[in-house]
Amino acid sequence: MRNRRAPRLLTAAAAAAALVLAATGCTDRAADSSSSASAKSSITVAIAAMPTSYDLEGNWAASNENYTMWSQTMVGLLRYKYVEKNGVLVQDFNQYQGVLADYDKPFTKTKTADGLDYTFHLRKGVVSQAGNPFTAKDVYYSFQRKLSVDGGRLPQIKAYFNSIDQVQIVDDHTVTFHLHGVGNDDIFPQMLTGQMGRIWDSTEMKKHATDTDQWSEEWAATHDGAGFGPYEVASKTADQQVVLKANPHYPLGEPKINKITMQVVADSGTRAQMLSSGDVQVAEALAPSDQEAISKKSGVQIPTVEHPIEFVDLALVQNKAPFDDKLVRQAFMYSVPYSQLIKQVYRGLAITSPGWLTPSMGVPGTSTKPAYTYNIGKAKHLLEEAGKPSVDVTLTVSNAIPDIVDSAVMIKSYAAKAGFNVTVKQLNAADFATGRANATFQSLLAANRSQTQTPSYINNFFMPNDPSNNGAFVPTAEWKKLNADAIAAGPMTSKEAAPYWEKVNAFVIDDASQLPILYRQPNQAYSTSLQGMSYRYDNTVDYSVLTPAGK
Amino acid sequence: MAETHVSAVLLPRARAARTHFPWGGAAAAFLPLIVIVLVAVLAPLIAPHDPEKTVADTRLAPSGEFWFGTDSVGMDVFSRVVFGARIAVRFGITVAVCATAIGILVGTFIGLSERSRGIQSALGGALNRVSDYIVAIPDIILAIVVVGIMGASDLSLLIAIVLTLVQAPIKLTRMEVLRVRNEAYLEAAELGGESRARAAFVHVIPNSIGPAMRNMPLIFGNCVIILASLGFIGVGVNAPTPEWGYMISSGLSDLMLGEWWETVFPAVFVFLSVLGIAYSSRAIPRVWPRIAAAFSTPSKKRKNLA
Amino acid sequence: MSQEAFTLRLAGVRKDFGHRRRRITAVQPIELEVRSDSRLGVIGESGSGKSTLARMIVGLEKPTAGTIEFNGRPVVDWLSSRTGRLEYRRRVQYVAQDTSSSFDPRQTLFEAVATPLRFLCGVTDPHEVRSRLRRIADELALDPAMFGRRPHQLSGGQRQRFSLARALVVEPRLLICDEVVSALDVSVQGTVLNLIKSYVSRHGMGLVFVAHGLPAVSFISSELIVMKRGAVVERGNVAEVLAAPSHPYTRELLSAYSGPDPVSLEAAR
Repeated sequence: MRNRRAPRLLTAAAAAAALVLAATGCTDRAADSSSSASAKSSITVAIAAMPTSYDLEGNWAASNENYTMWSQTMVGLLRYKYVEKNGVLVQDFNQYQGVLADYDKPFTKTKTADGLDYTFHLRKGVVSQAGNPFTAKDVYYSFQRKLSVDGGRLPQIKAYFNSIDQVQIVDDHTVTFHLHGVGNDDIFPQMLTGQMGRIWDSTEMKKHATDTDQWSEEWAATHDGAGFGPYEVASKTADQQVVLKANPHYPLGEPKINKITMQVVADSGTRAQMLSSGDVQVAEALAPSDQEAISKKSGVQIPTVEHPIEFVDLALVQNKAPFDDKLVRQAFMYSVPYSQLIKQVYRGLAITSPGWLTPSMGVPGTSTKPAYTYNIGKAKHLLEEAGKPSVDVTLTVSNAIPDIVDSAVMIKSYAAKAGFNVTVKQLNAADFATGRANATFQSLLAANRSQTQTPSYINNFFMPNDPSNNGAFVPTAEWKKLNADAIAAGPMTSKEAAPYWEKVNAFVIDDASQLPILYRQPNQAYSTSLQGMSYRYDNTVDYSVLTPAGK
Repeated sequence: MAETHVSAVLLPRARAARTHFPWGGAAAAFLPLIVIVLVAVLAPLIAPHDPEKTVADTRLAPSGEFWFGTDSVGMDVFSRVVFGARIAVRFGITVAVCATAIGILVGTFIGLSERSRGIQSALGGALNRVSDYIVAIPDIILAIVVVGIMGASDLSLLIAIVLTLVQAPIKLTRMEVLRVRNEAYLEAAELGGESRARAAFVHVIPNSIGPAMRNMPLIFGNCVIILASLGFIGVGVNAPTPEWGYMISSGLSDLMLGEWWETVFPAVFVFLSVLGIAYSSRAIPRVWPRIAAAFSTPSKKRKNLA
Repeated sequence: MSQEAFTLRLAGVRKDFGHRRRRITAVQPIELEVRSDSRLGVIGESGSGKSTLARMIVGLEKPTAGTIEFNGRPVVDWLSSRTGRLEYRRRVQYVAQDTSSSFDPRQTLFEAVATPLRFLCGVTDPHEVRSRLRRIADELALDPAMFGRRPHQLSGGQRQRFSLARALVVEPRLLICDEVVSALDVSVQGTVLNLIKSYVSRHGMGLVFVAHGLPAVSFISSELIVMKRGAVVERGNVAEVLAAPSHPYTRELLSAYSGPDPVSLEAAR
């Protein structure tokens, strides 16, 4: 109690916000004791910022809140199969459940002369948030839109299509995609499951089209309601909150939590504090230290998973000195205090990194042995070998994520022993994104994730022109051959292909230009009054699978 | 009037009043500044640890070994606070002194050129208007623009912050100068053969600097705040530089969960230095005329009397 | 000590204040000559232009028209160069009515009085400075201990005597006194007037004495001009004017006069 009250008095602004929320929190708790079923199914959530876009196809803007809105208001044909482990619903990235497609057998795959046909069996009797019946035309419209607008990761979907004619409406509830030239590295179902696979209610969308805005991008940027997702936006208050209400027509059944009040609380510590004091039931985007601080409090649960996919990405840019020398890159990788970072900055809420290939990708026998360990002796030796006993390094980070800044500072401190004189350069999120896009940084540390958990997708992080990764790695002929060999060896999750993917992973580790240095656990915390904590490919909370505890 | 009496009383007083540098008064007035500068200079001797190195586990509470605890990276908060005095000196005090000095000079110039004729009046008027416009731009934005134009360096940061904070001393001094310029002793100075420049420095400025000097601790405080906000948006001081404002802002989140030491200790030091500078800024105007007089006396004479 | 003679001549000197519509003529065209032996009294009510006249002579105001010549050289000319200005100031000094702001509150009186000595006479040697200050203190019956004080520690009368000291320490040839005793107690007025009178006669210097009270002016001057609304309405020998005022305003001044007799001022010494 003392711990909870005292800090409240200290920050006036936070206190004001906390008081407002304490009021709502109190009513919730009062409702708890009277065990009113309807009151229990509404929750309050602390989020870091307001969502800025409700259409990540036409108006791409990466943020945790945008991802959450996008996945709670919009769904696709598929989702990854949920498997419960340690009280957390974890997605199996190699198994699918139908959402708008048939739940148990969403699609059939047929080999053709020049590729693959995916035939999707659509659910019958589904209506959209706007009340329009769902048919194959909606799927066709959605793909037409994906091929027409520019945004986010649409190019990866577009790569599968030369023309919209490859999407064939067989009947009202059957759609076939005719794909050409795809092999073992086909990740079309993953693409449809991921962020770019959402399906629109074409009837509703067309209402908002104009002569200059054929795909209703303008309307969709600020509105939901033209989809089939589990939730709809009930109200928005600028800079303060967004309220979601359950969609009774959601194909997988109306969510148990029927009202979610998402309150904007900018500070991570305050969000954590509010959760531990019962003012909110879910706190998103927490710093690890804040998660740890409340982890032992009663009424708080923190999801941990065996194989997290969020990682801290260290890029040592190959075409810029001093990292144009592989020995220097390797020496730096040996100078990162991995276990200190996990223990001190991530408070144990992270695991060591085996490199790019992780067990969740489904390649049999994937090793979890750390790619690098902190080894000053080796680092010094490598620097000596490179003839550079002392190296100046500028490590750039975004100041938006405190644990990344702390990690960089800690790396600076520990790498000094090997002879690295690290300058940590902090930029604001926008400048960081610009610098990254313009590939001006010598090295950088960023939060990253692979939303598509397949080994062939790793290559996407090493596209020479991919601005999001600063061109840390120049794909060499050797790299391309290793990938091609692995793909040719068999299906990606087959035993035959596994040794080849290990070689791919070993190559990137040895190259030491860009590596996940640790994988961090989900960054949310939940009240124990809830069950159904989830861990998704996009690291958002899936509110549609959340239920009041004991139900 | 007896000649002996005259020489006995007049001479020693006159000597003391006119030519001796007021060591005692000056030392007392500048003491807080001297202490801060001493802490800054002697930081490596005072601080037990490297302020930019992880020396222990993170977020340790204050203890015998780590007096002020450790921060989110495991750096010693006490050492960081002590080294923070260096940044405070490099920016806070430099900015406070520069902004106040420049503000006084520009404010005096504007004040004296008003209602005069010719180029000086035009220049003064233009300066006054520029200053009015600059006041209208929010501090942070102005600082960002300057840093954006000049590129990020200590100098550009210094110029940016001085530019944002120089407006208050300009306005305060100008108001005082407008009052002082009508005082009869300025006519007396002119009749006594003093040049306008000398009159400005010996009579106008010392009698006009009071409000600007009292404003000085405010500039220091504002500078720490601006520096911290600039650091937060990435154009200011970078982590892990031990800057008090940055330490406060980065520790605020932990404060919510009871880890108060990362924030409270640097905040206390900001507070203490603001108090100290407030004291100095009130004491300096009192000793200033004697210091100015000591310096405006030809050196030959000072030498004779030494 | 130089006893050089001088001639100050005002020809058609006029002074206007303000612009166009709100123009006020403070001093109507005036002809005047002041010499080394002049003891000229200027009398008039406030706003009569007498102070403006005094200030034009010392160069604190510029005439709108006409010329003021000192030793045949226009005053504007004297003031236009640094050396000329210093020479002119060295010869012509000015003392104004005592106000609390006649001395810089942050300086000691020593500094205030030594400053003109240093800049106008080039006396920087500390021994000479002290001996000159000692001499002027002696002549004006000042307590030298007060040189160490600051202006706010002095009474009005003391301060006014230090104003005199500041003006006279450079041994000017002409002293312009502008309402120097108006703000002082009557008892102190006599002392100050006597000091001025005796100093001026001892040093054989010219005096322009501006006041609004007849007794002081008649006590200290030999010639007199009476000003009203910027114009000289009467001028002449003091005794003659007092005996036979020709202008109604002068008669009014004489009849309104009810202060101490000039002769009793002499006695107050």
